[in-house]
Amino acid sequence: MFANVNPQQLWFIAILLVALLLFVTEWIRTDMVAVMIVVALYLTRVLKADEALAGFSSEPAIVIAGIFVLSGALHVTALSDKIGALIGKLAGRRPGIAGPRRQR
Amino acid sequence: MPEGDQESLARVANDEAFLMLVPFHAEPKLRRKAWLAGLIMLATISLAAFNLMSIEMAAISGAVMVILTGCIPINQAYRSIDSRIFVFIAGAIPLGAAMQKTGTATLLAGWLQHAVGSWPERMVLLALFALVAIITQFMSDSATTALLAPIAVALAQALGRAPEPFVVTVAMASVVAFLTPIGHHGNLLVYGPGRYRFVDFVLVGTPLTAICALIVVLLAPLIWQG
Repeated sequence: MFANVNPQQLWFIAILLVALLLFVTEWIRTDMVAVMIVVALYLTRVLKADEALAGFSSEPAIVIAGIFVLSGALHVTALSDKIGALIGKLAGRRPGIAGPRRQR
Repeated sequence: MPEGDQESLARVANDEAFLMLVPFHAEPKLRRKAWLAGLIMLATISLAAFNLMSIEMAAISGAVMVILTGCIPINQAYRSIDSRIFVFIAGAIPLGAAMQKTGTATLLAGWLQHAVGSWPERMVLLALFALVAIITQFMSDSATTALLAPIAVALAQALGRAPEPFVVTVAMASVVAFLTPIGHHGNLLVYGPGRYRFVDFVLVGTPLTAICALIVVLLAPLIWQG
């Protein structure tokens, strides 16, 4: 069963397991772990440089950056305040439906 | 909502001791652009939703538009980008590429096929669901389905079962991205501002995923009987 595992797959599985362990325990900050993944996949020759760095131009990364700017615009124009206030008004005194919640 | 003159409000907003969930110090000049910002947001969502543009190009075009139209000063636009989240996702993405390139997903599926030979059908489906749900955390939903659906068909044939429940299980499991913050854009967007930990998503996501798995595994063999 394990005979058909090649070294690349072993490296990948090792990196994946260590990454998951670090993500869950947060012994190292998750963004740092993510960069370590890029370096590890490259150093073990699992991925070429361009493949290892492809995440920076990947769809999720670009979407996240774009949406952050868009929601930033909603914040500075106070539109998100207005929408929040509107939802709060619609919910009235029933915070179970919507409305501002206290910070933990 | 706090009230007071602009200067003291700004002082509160800039004080580290107060965590501002919603900034309340918008300048009047920018407040007048609120409708424009909303319009651009709606246009961005529509372009992506109706497939007129790929979602990443729609998002970046929307970002360019809010800056060009003066809805947000460019410095503030840069500050809005949570670079920690950006680096986090950019770094985690190659795991999916590596999983595909090294053929590890196929390898795992092979192990699964080996292990479940004598199990009852629903247990096989449950194991398949679990495998796919884990793989989809690192690979996109569509790539996971495309890669594992043929494997599911082969698995069904090897077991002498109808393939439909197996393929549906793969399709459903690959959109179950609740397990980790890297599973889905939506999770990522709240991960930073919400100050969640990685495990918070796992703690909420695991029971949710288990419920979905049970529903699919119970229903699929009833709907498609081999």
